[in-house]
Amino acid sequence: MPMTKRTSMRRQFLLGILPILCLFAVMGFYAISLFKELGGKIDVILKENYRSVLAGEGMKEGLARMDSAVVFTLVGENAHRDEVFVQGKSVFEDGLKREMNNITLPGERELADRTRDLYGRYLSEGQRFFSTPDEAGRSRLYFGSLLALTNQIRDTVQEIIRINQDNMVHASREARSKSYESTRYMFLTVGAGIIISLLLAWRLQAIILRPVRNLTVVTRELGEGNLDQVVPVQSNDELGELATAFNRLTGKLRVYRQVTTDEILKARQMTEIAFSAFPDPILTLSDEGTVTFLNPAAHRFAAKVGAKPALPEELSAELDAVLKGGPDYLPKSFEKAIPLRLDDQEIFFLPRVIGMRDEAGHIFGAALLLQDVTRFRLLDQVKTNLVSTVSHELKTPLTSVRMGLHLLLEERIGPLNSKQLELVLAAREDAERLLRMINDLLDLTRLEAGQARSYLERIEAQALVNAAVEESEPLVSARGQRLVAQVAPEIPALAVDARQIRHVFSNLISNAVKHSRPGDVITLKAEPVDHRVRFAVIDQGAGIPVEYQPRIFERFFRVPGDEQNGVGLGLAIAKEIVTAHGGSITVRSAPHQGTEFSFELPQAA
Amino acid sequence: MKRILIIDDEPNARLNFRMALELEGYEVSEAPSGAAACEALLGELFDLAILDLRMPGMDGLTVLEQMREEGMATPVIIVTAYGSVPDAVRAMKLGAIDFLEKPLRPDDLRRLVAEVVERHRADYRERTEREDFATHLRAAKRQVNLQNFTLAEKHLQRALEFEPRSADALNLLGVLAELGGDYRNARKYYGRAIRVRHDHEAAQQNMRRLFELNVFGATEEPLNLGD
Repeated sequence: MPMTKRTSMRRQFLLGILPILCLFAVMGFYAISLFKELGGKIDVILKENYRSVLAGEGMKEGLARMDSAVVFTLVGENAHRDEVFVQGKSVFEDGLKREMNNITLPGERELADRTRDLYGRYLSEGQRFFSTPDEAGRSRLYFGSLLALTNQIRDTVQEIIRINQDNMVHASREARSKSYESTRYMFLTVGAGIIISLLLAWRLQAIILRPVRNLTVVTRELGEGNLDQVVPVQSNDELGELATAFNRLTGKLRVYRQVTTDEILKARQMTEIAFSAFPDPILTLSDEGTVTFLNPAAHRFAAKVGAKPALPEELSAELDAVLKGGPDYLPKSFEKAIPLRLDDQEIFFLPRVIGMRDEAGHIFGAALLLQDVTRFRLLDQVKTNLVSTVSHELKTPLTSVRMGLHLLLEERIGPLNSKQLELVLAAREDAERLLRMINDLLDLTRLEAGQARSYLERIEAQALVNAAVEESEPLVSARGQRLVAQVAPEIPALAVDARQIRHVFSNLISNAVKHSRPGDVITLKAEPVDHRVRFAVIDQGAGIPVEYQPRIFERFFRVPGDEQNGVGLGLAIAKEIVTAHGGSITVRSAPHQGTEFSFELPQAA
Repeated sequence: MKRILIIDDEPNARLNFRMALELEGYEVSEAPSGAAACEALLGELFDLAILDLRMPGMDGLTVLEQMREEGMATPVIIVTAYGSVPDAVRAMKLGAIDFLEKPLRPDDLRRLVAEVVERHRADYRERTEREDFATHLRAAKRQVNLQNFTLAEKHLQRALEFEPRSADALNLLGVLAELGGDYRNARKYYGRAIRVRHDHEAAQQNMRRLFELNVFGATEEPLNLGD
């Protein structure tokens, strides 16, 4: 979508709030100028008028003093007479002077001029009054002109005071009315502002929210699987763009759903065909344990077993465990097979329980697969017997070979020359190796057949490590390596078959020795790990390539390219023993960083 | 010169054994089967018989039984193959307490042969025995060979007075108790032996066997008398 065609939402938004901004600016300026005007005017008026009022009052006082000096003289009280008069005169003249300089009101000038004229006459009449020596003359002069002049002056000054006071009252009244007026205007503009803002907000939310609401409604519909929804594209702003993109998305989803629905149908058909063709019974169960699906083999199986399709106790326990979120039950050993008599034959089923989980990992059911392992079991037994028999048979001649070689090497029968010695030594080495292999094979078959039952005794982990160190020390130092034992303090005791665990140690240590260089350190560790004890044998050798690590415990498995002689049974034996003790064995290794074999055994109760 | 009879159906095994022993100055005869052995034993006197347990026809234990029935007290070393275990109690009751497991080295054979021969040297039997641990232990073993189990037990008790912490003696006492059907005491002695020496293989094996007899009613562990 071209940029020019689009009215951006930001612009719409700014345009929307612009009127409000203007309104507030105008109101603000108006209010500021109003306050300024009101404040300044009242201040000036009050100051000027107040000054005139004060000048008037001064004149009144000066006049009163002068008058009292005149009256004193009249009643014959001549003491301080001149002094009081002069004082009154100076106060009056000061007031008059201030008034003359502070003419502010219309008519005030005339009143001031008149006061000055009257005062001039009063002064000259006063002069005459004081220079008149007789009492009667003074009295005549006082009542004839001086008193009238005094009253005229007082009245004029009073008039000046009155007009100034009137003006103050007027100005204050005017200011109040102006303030009322402003308040009214303010109320009006604020009200208008609020209404305009509301209108704009309404418009904005219509612009922004309506498309969003549309989208929400459609998205909700989409979530419920209704993919035919289309959002109306009402604008070419960001929201319009979003709506377009959304519509495109639903379009793609529609196509995708069509495709996946087809694929799911296909996959389901294939699964059903595969399940029907599968020879072993498969059934699925809901998380409440009710059967939801049976393949044909399971139907036949159920028919044969008869009316009571109850599962064996241990199997239903495993099933419960898986349904409660436990790990899948995937036994490999034929010992876990369940024997059933069907058609007068004993058939062994190896059960597997696989939890069905949704994407969040919650169990919603389980699949139960019953693999018919009757034949495998038989083969396994034959194999075990065969291995055992063959090993025994091999041992008799090997015993003779080995003993004969030992006898030759004693050289008590006769001396060997160096070449003979070399050959016989090589032969003895191979005889010993052959013997070890046969012993390992016999051990393993016995362990696998469960013949080597364990006698569990209580033993300290420290004692196990000590025994292992003691046993392996000669082998390790013969190769110029060092064996270091690190046993954590306060390590719990174990209930194990000490002989078998020694076997595990010896296998792991001899493995480490084989893969270490002279001068390397082999570390034996023991540490408690919640209710278990973890033992580790760590070497500094070349390490085991990651791709071979999962297979390292398999029987006869040897890392390709590993030149060490051995038949590949030592680790398998170690694993059998550890597993039989209820423990687990693991390997951790990185190329050129050595290898750590560790196994955990439960601590003694 | 001590005379030894090797009873084994494998000619090569007999050859090896004979070579190993002749170098030590023993006079060695061979019997290729149980029947031949019985015949040879009737004809001559031997100081020791080395008896292979597994033979076609008459097996080792049957030969031993026949020997004892005929009144022959010749001490016997029983040779077993790895993993194949004799009916230990039966062997023991017949006075056999020395076992060799195949495959073996010449020195293993010679050491055990020398021990058994030494145990039965005439002068020990005639002379008043010296009072020490080794002598009593040796005498105890001899008495087991001769099937005098009560006497054997007495010697062991005496041996323990000198060395109360001898795992070997304790273990043997356990074996004797077990032979007499006294499993409680047997367990006690084996337990003491293991406590004294944690890695005492023989006592551990015996304890395990007793445990298996208890728990499973059968066992494949041999009775182990120690070195």
